[in-house]
Amino acid sequence: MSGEWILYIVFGATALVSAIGVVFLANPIHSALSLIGALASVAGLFLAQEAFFLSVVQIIVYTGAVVVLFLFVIMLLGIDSADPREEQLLRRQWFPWAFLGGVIGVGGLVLTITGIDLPFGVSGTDTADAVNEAGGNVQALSERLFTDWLLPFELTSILVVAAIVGGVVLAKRTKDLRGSGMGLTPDLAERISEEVEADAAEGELDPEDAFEADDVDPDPDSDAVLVGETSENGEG
Amino acid sequence: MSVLAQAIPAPQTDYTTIIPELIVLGTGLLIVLMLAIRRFSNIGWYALIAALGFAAAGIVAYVDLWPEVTDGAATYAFSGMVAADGFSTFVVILSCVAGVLAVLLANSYLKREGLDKAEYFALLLFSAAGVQFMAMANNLVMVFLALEILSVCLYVLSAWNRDKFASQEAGMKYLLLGAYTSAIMLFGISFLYGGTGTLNIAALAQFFARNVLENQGLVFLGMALVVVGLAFKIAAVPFHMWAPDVYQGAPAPVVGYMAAAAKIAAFAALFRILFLGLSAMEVDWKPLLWGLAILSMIVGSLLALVQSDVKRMMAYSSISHAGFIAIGVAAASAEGMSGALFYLVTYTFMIAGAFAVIDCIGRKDEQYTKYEDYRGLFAREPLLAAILTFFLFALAGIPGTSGFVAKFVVFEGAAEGGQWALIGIGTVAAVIALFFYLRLIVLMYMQDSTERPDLAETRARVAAGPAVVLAVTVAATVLLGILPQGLLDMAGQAVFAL
Repeated sequence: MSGEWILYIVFGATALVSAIGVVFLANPIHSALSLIGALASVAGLFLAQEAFFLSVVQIIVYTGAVVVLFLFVIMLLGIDSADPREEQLLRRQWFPWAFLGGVIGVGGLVLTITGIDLPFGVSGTDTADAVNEAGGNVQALSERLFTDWLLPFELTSILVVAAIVGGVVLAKRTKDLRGSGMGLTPDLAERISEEVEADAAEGELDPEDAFEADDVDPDPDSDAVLVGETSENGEG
Repeated sequence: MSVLAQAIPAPQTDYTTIIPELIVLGTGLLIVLMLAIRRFSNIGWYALIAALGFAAAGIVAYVDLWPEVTDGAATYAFSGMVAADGFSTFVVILSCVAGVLAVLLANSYLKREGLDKAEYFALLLFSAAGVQFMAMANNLVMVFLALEILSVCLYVLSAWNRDKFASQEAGMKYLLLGAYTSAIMLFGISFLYGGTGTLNIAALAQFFARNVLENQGLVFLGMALVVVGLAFKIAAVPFHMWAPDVYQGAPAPVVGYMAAAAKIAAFAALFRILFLGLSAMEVDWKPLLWGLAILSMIVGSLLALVQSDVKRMMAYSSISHAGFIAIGVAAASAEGMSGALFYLVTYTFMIAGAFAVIDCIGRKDEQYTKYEDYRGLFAREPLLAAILTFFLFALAGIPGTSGFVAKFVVFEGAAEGGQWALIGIGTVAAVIALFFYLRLIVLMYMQDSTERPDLAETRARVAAGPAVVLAVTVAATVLLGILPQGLLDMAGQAVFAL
């Protein structure tokens, strides 16, 4: 068993365990931390493939930036507000599938370790020798990126532009709070207040603390005002 | 030799092969730029720019590229990333037509609902470019990237009416499920790479021509997962769960475009990957498409029977149409493929027209989309009711409309391959489908309109954009129903040049 295999098995197992943790852990913060473990293990897998540059980028971009962003979102949303009942429901629904996935993953690992002959396919053109010949990881990667993979590289920028334009359009608040701030539409506000009241009836939450239902006017006639203001905002 | 001395070879850039895509993308970026500099108060200007962009791209593709690509083999550009051939050019032209119809539909809708932000048109253009690159993609990474561009735009467009709960729900559901299936597809692509050592679709075919695989497990898994990812986009059963909610919640003009665009793109990718790349595995993927086609036709038709909302019914109808088009793929022949292409063209027109009517009848806020609201429609809105009836007949495949010819050519393709069981099931599904279309038609004509005095007072407004869309789509549906030969020849050429 070569060193690459040992690295593969160790990091593969950590990646799997962490990934299962992302799904199963009750606390979102723990899930995010588990995600760091999964992404770092993938960086380790890149390392085992001698893709050093990719491995470092994986840690900087994913483990660093992306997960921090996730944690930010979780903090902003507030981890305490999660309804424990919903969580349980979610876990129960996911359990059989996650379990199945875990069994398949662990089974694959066991098969790999015991060396049963599986179809392992063929290696592509970007072997370690080819990388060395090009003068290292960064050189090889940049050369491929700006020659053969130029068009996909450019298209990625279009994808990012589309995502940003879409995100800005959907997230930008109009002046009218009822109109779009936090997506609180009259009928949505009504639904939320109904749910809160129903919870309060069961004695679980205090509606005054949770949500000021009276702030929102569920009057459908207010649409006319709303439309005028949103369109004005779109022009300005 | 120092590292610096090694010059990187210049990339292979054949911009002439992707001129239509460059025009579409450029127009989209132009709109984004214009928005950053100065906003026109009337979004009609942006609509005009977008429509002109689509028209220019379509005309360039037809006049400049089409004659070139139909008489020769595919030309590969950008180091084999894209292929310019009759097939891709055909799809590019079709996506431009769908784009123009979508722009015309959207303009009046956005103004009426007070959602007039010009970013709509930019996203529309980007999504169309996604469709076009998907048809041209000769590399699995390109397929994935193009699919993501298309999908991201469609997620946002579905949630465009963000003040409406249903629209938010539609966008959110589409996003979550779409992202999940994209991951599945990517997983499949990685398996295909692991099994063959290449991502290039043409090279995949060469790999299978040179090698006989002792164990196909890895490649089969990859192929199956890629099919799953694409089947989600065409809303084929059992990957259709998102369609009813998204179709019901998303704005009508978006659905009229999305239903066609997503199908065009995903089928184009399916054709190229399965026919070209994995033709050696025909025995393996044929049963998958058989299953998808049969399940989609039957389940879509049956569930459409029990709906009470027109947009939701159209969602199930689109699922069953996905099944019919999948017959063309399952036939695994040039005839089946050109039939499917023809079907996609007719479907693009029919669905745009049908949703133009649904948009007009739905009025402000799309509040009238229930079957209840269509009761006695003919007495209130004779013209709209007549046009909708025409489109429903066309969707059902009544002779004299393009829908009939489309179903006929797809069945013909299957018959050439001797797949009579598929045709039999398709015919049964078509008969069931006739029922649910007729149910709505009966409701429109046979019921007394006095039951809805609230609707009888005012007439539905048909703005200029939807009016043009209706005129064009009705004309196209009639014309392709009576004189389909021109387009059939084009579809045939598109396939043979592949």
